[in-house]
Amino acid sequence: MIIRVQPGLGVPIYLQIESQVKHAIAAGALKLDNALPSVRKLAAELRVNPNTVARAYQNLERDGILRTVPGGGCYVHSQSPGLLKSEKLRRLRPIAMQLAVEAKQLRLARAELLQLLENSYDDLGEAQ
Amino acid sequence: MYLWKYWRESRITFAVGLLLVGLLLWGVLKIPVGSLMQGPHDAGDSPATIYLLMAAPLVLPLGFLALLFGSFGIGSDMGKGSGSFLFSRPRTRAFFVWNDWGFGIAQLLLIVLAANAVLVLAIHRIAPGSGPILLAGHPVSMLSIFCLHSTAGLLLIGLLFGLTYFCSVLAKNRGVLLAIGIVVAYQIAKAVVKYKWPSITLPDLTLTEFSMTPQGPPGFAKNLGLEIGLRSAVALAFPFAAQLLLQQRDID
Amino acid sequence: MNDLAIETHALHKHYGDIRAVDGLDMHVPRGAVYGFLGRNGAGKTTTIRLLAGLAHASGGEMRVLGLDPRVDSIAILERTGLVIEKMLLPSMTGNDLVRFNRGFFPRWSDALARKYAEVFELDMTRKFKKLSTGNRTKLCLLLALAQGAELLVLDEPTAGMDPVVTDQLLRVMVEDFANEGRTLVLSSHHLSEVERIAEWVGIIDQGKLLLEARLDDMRTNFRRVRVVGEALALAEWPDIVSANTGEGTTEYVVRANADAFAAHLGSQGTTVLDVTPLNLSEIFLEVVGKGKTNVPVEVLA
Repeated sequence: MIIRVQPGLGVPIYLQIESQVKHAIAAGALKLDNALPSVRKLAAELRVNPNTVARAYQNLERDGILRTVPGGGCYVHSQSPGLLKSEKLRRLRPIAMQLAVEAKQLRLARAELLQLLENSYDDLGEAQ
Repeated sequence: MYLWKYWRESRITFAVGLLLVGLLLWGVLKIPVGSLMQGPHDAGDSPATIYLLMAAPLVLPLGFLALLFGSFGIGSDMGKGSGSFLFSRPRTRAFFVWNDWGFGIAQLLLIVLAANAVLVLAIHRIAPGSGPILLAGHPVSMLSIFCLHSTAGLLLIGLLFGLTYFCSVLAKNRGVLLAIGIVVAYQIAKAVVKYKWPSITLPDLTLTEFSMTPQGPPGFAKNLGLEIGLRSAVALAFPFAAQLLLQQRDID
Repeated sequence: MNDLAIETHALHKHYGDIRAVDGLDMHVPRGAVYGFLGRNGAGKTTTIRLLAGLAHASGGEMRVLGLDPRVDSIAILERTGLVIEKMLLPSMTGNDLVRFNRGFFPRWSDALARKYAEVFELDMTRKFKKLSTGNRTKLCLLLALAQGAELLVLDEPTAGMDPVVTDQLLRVMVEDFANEGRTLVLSSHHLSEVERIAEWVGIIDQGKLLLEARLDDMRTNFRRVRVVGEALALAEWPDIVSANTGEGTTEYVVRANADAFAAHLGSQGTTVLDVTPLNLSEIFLEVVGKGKTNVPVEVLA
């Protein structure tokens, strides 16, 4: 089960699905040209509204991460969304800020934080 | 499919009703016919006359059956909490009322007819007599008396069945008790009125078909047609009232 | 022909002094899954009974599938599947009830009835009165689903159901109803189920609709803004739903524009601790006015 959501989180479910797909791609669980479950199938599995899944898939397609085929079916398109670098950085900023806040609280040194980040990045392997 | 539901509810009572009425009549007819011929009426011993007299025992069992039947249908369903389900089917309130009432009346009519038929057959076996009797100078056949008795029976049924049906829509599970209470109260009221104001007589629940005088031959009761008309109207008023009540009320 | 499956305007229902429905303005878009949320006694069931023509409104307007229940109740009921009271006809079996119900609905499907009997694992030869609560509800749902309705209104369908059955039901809802162009209205106070499948949410309390919005918008817009200090100086900000102070912090819950609010606070010299989302249960509690942020965990279980 590649995608799991938690409706009680207060985060829209479609955003959770999008982020799960991206994470799966980044970690190599989903590779280029892999098929994703159909909207209806995924909705039934997750017990969520099909419109939610559809919206997530649409957004991922808009961002160039998925492509749909005329006969139906959704496939992993490319691992890098077709966005401007500035947009990519903008999206990551809140997460980076969170990390920075936590690190400061824990009195982690700047170098230690950077090391942590580098390790996590490398752990994802060659799925790039 | 709705009538099928009513049939499921009423079929046992219907069958038992038919059986009981048949048994009752068979039992009643065991009484020596001759003994009934003494007494104030001295109209000879033709079968029609016997028939006239023998209809009386029908009243109580028919009345009882009418009360029982009145408890079937939507009144009892509402009492069991099924009102919400039934009335959220796409049919008008009138549909439910008139299907209940119509099917109930039809079954009761069959019982009335069967009872009268059994009576006629049994009497013919005991006293296969000459034909018609004279009523106020007119010859009247067994068949006409059969129709008249059946009509009287139907009117009684209609009154009590309608009353009970209306009461069960009004008071759900306590509907039959309410109806019995009303009937009893009415009989008491009749007696009280008769006692205090002798000139006023409240109408009987049963139709008076014939006027029996100590001397002379029996005749049809006066205003028979009017009586039948009025009683029919009263009998029909009850399902109408039930329909109106349901249309006004919230269903819980 | 508008695109609302259900619409009410200033709907009222009074029982003597009790105002069960007290000026309700509700809008259910066609094709949506709408969570009708409220506490016990808030007016959910009364509203549904008014829409179904089972009770008479004291005032106001309503339209179901474009029709007025006061006038065209029959036409509405032909196209609407309802589960309100979980009581059918006690002496009938499942199969009897299918046979009974079939004749009322031109779009009835025996195939669907059989399918749901299987999915719900129902013994259709058992009399209704002998079924457990969960199975009774499932049978009620089966009848409503096999009807081929374009609008399904379910009043607390998961009440008294165990988690396994609830899950079965959710799956059925999602697979067979959501996104088929048909409208589903679920009234409930079991927020976790509604949260999964609802697109729209209407929160009713004391007969009035306090909030009606897309669930995703609510998730995006409702925020808890925590600041250092116990001063409640900004009670006039229009989007504030509640403000609580204690233990050296003040918490505001806003229904929109959280970033602007946080920026405003920051410009006043207040330190903003964080801006966090709320889930549906928390939003519900805030909107209904019973939100408490310091209740011990044991009580919430």
